[in-house]
Amino acid sequence: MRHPRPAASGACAVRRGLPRAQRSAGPWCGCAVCGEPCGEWGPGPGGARSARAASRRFRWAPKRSRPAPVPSPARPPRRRQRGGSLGMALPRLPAVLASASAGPARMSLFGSTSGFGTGGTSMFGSTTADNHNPMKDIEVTSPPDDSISCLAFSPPTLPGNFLIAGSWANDVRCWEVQDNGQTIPKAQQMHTGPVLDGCWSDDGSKVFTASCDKTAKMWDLNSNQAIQIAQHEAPVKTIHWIKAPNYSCVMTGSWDKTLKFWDTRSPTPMMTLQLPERCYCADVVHPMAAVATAERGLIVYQLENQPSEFRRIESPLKHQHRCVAIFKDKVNKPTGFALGSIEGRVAIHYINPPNPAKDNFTFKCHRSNGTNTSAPQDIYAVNGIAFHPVHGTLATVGSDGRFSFWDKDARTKLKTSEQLDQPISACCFNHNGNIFAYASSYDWSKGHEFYNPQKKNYIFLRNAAEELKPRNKK
Amino acid sequence: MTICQFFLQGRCRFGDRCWNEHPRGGGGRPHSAGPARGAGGGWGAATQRYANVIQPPVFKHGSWGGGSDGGGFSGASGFGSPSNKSTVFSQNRFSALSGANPGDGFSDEEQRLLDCIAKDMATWESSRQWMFSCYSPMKDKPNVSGFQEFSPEEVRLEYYNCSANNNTENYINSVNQLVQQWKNRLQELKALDASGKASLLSQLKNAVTQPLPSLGFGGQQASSFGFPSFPVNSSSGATSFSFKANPTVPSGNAPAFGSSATASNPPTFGATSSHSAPNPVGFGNSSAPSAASFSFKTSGTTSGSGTSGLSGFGNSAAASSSSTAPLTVSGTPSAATGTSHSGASNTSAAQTASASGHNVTAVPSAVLNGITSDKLYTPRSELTAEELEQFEAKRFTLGKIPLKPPPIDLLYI
Repeated sequence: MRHPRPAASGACAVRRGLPRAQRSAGPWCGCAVCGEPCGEWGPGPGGARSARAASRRFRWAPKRSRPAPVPSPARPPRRRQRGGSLGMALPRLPAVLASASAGPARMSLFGSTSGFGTGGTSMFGSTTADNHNPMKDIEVTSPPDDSISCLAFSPPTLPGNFLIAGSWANDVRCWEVQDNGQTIPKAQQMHTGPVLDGCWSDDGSKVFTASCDKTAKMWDLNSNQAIQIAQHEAPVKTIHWIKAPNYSCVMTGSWDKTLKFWDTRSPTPMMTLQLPERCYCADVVHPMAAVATAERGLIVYQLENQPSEFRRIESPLKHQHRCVAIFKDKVNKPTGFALGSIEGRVAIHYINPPNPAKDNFTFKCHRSNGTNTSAPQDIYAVNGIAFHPVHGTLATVGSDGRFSFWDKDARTKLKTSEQLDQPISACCFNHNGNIFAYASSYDWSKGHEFYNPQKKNYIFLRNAAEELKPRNKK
Repeated sequence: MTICQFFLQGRCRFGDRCWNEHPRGGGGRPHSAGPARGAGGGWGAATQRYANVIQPPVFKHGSWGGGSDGGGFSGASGFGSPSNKSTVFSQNRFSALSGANPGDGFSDEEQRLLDCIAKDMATWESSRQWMFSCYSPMKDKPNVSGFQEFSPEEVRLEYYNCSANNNTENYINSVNQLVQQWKNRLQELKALDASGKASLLSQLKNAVTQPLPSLGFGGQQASSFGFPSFPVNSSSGATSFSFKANPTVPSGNAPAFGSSATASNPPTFGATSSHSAPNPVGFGNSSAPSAASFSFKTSGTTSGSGTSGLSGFGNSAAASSSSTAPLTVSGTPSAATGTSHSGASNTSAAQTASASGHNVTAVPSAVLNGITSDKLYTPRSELTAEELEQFEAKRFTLGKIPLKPPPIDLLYI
């Protein structure tokens, strides 16, 4: 390759501070410091090798100030979480689920099948090299016996934090999460089929669960009774509580290609909307609801007055939709959603952006090779997306057994976790964003051969107050 | 590797020889500045100055930038890397020289589409990602046919149901079958021959013109036609789909072929590529199962290429004639209606095809010319009482699904 001769002073034109017009016009020679083309000597695309050769002859911009081309996965110093506080303030707990007793007495509620440890530590002592908790997060006691399909924290109207998890063992369990990290199992309800989704009502007194037995139930936590409130012709995949100024109802999406809205007091739905295909995932942030269906269908509904279809959107992704989460703008209005697919990709889509081509984008995640696209990489499905309620940053969990935090406004990755030995099937934040919960259990991404019913499933809690702070925009 | 800064600005003089990494995808913005001359070349500072005020990329027809990793910030240099400062990726100029496939008769854009599909198929295969998923090469395009979509939860539920009935071999067989079909389809798409490409492109183009909104409609239509694979397997307790129903679909959908043993149909499909007999039954057989259960279009197989022409027609006919099943999302509703259309058109055009001896190019054109609107709906007078009853029922019953298209007045248009 040809290099133009070096300038006499020994530094390139940029370094000498010449104005742009006076630098010679060669386009490609990049100053090592700033990458500005200056038309003068530089190593060429040979990189460090020819740089060394060049530097033997010429003295040029110092090598070390080259900005690091690709940030190596930096590991922030690990904060020991074990037994430590979850970083939350200490409210009084006049819990609706009044239970003053300590942990062990209550654990028998969940039956004897699952073993339980004490407090938040693993019962196996973690001396083996098993990788079930490489992030050293707090384990929830008495996790379900089969894969966890959904997680949800209680709304801010309840003092304290309560977590519900639905699982493929046909049950939905509720724990109280205390601020020192201790989790106390509280109650459990059963369905006749695996539970696929669950959500809280806005006052925190009821939990709604959707199951493969084609019904949805409302679980009143005060009385610990559950009644059926919805019926579909196929398993119910999603359930959300809608609280509008003039109505409130439960929205269920099912594989029978319908979206039904139920007043919990009546056995017939208030409204039924047809979907183009089976409902795979949905999210509701009033007054917007986003539903993603099979065959790459994507529909947004507006929920004022009564639910109606707002827009059908061309999917920005090429493969099956797996999860969707709505995000809000700075004034707390829902303004778009994040859509995850089985192909290790998440699309951020704004509903009414000023510049759709620039504002909507997709990014790759949960792939084995990171950003190196040349070698064949393993691609994993994105199982869940959750937005931090305060910072607006998002977390994604995938079949590769990792979770990642991202800042969508700065379009950067904040953190990726270590790899767990099982896929992470669900995740959620609590109402103030201090706790990030994620469930480690098999999500069937590799078929039945890799299903081990004996393998223990976990739910981990992590302090999310610090790690999800957005970076300053570059 | 380090990202080439100059490629990002569209000015890399080394092009393919460059030792740095040229991230893929990008705006497709034609870069007006020519390749750099040598040192001290004649650009002048003005170009440099304005080059840093780069306009947002001009996206062609609203799609991604033509790359397989499209979308504004996707691609290798998207997240977390300091090359974030350049917000525009432009296509490497030199790729056009290396990538063009002369003599194919396809336009540049179509060629890119096909390359994109081939590359995506290769990635899909090597990446061990979930295989039961739909696929579409680009944002605006409809789904490529032949890929059945199931979510992991559905598959898992099926497993649980089967194991509750002690039926796991059945489940395993069905899953293996689906995997095999997926692999076949994938291989077809990776190595498309000319006719396969033509039919694929026509399918993608045709469906693009369909308007979106009547999709909810299409859902209703589906229920009135009753996609055959879903119901009526009592042992599965009427789950939303039944793996067991899959083998019975082809037989159910083509009663002319008799309620043949379920075993016969899967091998038939698997052997489609070697299927050479031009007889109408076999011909229709290979197309009907493919149309029905795997939603259209076994394009690309040599013997099935005539089929693909037909079902491609059935596709477009369904699309253009009755807005019963708009095909932007060519899911099962369209498959259902397309089935009934292509079922009729197959039997009628099969003779044409066999007569012309698998003349591939002749078949589509013959079909397109020959079949006018009167073949899309049969007048009531031509239907037997049983067929009429089937059309009027909410769902088809297996074994009695009519081969002729429905009368126009029974359709919700």
